Amino acid sequence: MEKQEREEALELVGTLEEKGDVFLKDLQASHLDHPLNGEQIDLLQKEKMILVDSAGRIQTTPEGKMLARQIIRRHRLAERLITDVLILKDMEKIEESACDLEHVMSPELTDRICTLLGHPSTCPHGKRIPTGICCTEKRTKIESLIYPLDKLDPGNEGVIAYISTRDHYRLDQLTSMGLFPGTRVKVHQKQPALVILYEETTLAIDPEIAKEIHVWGK
Amino acid sequence: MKSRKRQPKKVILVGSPNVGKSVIFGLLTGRYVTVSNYPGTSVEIAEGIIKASGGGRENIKIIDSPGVNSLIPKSEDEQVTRNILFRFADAGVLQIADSKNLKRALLINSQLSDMGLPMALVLNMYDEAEERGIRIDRDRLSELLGVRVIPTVATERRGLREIRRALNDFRKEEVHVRFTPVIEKAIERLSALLPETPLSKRFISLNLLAGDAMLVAHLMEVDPKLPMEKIQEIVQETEREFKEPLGYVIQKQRQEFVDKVFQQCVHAEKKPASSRRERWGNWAMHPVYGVPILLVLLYIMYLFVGKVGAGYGVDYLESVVFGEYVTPFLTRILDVILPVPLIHDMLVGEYGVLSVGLTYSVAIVLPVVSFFFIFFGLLEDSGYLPRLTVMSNKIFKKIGLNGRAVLPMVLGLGCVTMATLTTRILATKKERIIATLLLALGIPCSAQLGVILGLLGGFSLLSLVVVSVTVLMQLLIVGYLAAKVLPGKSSDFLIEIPPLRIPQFSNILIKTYHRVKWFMKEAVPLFMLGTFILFLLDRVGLIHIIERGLAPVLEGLLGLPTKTAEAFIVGFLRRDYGAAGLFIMAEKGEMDMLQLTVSMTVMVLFVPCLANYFVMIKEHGKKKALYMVAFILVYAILVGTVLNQVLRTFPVL
Repeated sequence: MEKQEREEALELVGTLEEKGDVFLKDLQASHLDHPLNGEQIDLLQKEKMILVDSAGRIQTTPEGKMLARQIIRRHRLAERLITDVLILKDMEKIEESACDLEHVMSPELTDRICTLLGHPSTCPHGKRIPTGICCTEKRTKIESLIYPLDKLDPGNEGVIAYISTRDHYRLDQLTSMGLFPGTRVKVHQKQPALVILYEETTLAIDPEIAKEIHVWGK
Repeated sequence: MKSRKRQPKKVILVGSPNVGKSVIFGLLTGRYVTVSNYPGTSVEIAEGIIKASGGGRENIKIIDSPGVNSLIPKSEDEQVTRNILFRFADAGVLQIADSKNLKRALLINSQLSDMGLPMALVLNMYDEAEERGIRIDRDRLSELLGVRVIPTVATERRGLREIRRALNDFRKEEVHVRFTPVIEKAIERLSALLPETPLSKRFISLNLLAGDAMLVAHLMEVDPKLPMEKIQEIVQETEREFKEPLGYVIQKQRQEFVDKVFQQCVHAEKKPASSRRERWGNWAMHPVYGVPILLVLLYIMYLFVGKVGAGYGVDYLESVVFGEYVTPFLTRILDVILPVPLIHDMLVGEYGVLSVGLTYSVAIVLPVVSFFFIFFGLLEDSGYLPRLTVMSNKIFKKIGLNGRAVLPMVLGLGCVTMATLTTRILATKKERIIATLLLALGIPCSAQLGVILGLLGGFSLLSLVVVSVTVLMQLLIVGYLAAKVLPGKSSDFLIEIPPLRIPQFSNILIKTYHRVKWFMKEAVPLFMLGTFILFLLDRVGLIHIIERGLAPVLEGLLGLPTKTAEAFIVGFLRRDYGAAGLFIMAEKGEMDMLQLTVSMTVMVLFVPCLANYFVMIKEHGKKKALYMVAFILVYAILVGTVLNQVLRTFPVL
């Protein structure tokens, strides 16, 4: 099996597994962009990437799981990079470019992009980005460009790059207070509660919310 | 024929919190103010009349709406403003903006413009913007928006005449944000399905797209045959076109529009206004300096409310006004007009409705509560309270609330009943229940606090400390457990910190007047009713039966004389009244220090007063209110029992 073909197949299995049990028919469903054919599924089994039981239930082997995780991580990081840093707006182009990029990102490059983006936890669609070694080590050797707001020290400021929350109420609260991508925010104090300054507004917020506001650092 | 310019019959003030709406409201209306609860909510809405003058030929009704940052409400108290606008077809909107925060005001303005109501824009606190080097080209702004723009400094009455003049020149804004084609298309499709309402179909469509679920109920009232399924289908279809929530997409596009307007009208040369007031404002929420500031404020409150209000105020009213004049006067009149012993006892006897009930409420409670509300008004208008939320957020997080809960809790020190109504500012049901429970359990209202501080403090400081520590511990324990046990979630802590301001004294007096009036209306009848019930119980001898019935609990568990039953019975009507009863017993030597401490603790924790109970039912329904009261009753006795044992084992008192 070709590397790219395998990666794409595993990406599909891995993505579906996030939602629950996966069955053969799920992989072949016609609404998918690239459903798998019987031959591909056989190959995956032969390569010991997946196991299929008598009920048609698919399970990834430890190796398959690891590969799936990596490719999903690369795809979602690529999406973040394209939407937030390169600011591409066309949804289809984003998806297309991410699909291309994910196959050429080496492990090292992947971790560097992750660090650059400040180890984001979700993709623009709100799905989890699997963590890499760089996240657990909190690597900052190459300076991050984007930081979660709560990582800024008092007195430092940054411009909001994106807000990663999926909580509609929280988003509405933030936007109606005038916090949008592009707003320049300064951290005033972090104890006993986080207080930020922007425009002529002073706002106290939970650190959990600040974590979801990502700013271009320093 | 009279040619009449466009003058709305009603004007609604709309704007963010802390932009000076109520000051402008007060100046426009003079003294014609009524404060009423908006139907179905506890939020107070002030209504007034602007007398015909200048260009206007008719009186105009003016309504002050609660401050909001967005007209797409996401919580109960936020929707009040939207509902007021929804109700009045012939209203105009006077938007009040904080000049230095024009961007945020323009965001609201763009929502108002979609509503299609005639309006004008007031740029208040214009001096603060100028101080900070923000120059606004008002003519350009007026031209771009198509409405009148009036700069004001309300606290100095500057620009007031211009507002009056603008009242007959309200205009509908003609510029609207053009959204992306997908959204515009959805607006068009939704509009075709919507009934006529005072607000434009464009605005309602946008709110439906942005997820204003509470609007649906209002629409169903107007048109019961509303094709809900079709509407939902359109909303969902549109949602699928975007990777981000629709409300966010819409707000972002508004913001782009606002930015353009802002750039054309505003010149800002950054002059950081680091004034003395700002430094104090920062100290008040500083992790280190904030604490002594809080302690000093608490001490000032103790002096002001406890010493001046509860000390001199009560002394004077009770012993001089009532003791020497009112009560003897009433007694004499009564003896002359109605010399019937039964009526004499009922009105001016040992449990006299007038001699005890009225005296307690007016002579003891009124001065304490008035002084507290003045102090609370000062805290509120100075901008200190939001800073207190910063200081206290962490503690409140531990008990399932957040810093925002400081407001009802501090207000609870004034009147728990009133504070229970304001728990509405908390975002989730879980938080409202926890706050209501804690208020009922362990926050003594100012009358009770005054009695406790004044009397117990005078008796024994140590006893006061024991009572306070025990009660505080219960608040933390019960709050912590309630946060674990109760389903639902707690909300985000997100609160704007306004600049520190010097309070307007007239504004504080008006507020205090309304609060005290509300309080007296609630309290005085209950005081009298309570005394009357005691009088009846005493007459038919029931009091002794109840005392005997409660003896096992009182004597056995709590180690108290059975006569305390009387205090606990009135305590259910008014806790402060009950607390005062306990003191009188201690003064007469019927209880020792230990018993006073235990009974006092139980009284503080004890079931809420009757008025509070009614409000709990109103807010949470009969079942939950009953559960809470039952829990509190059992818990109070339990804590009292433990405290009694501990104090007897370790006789510190």
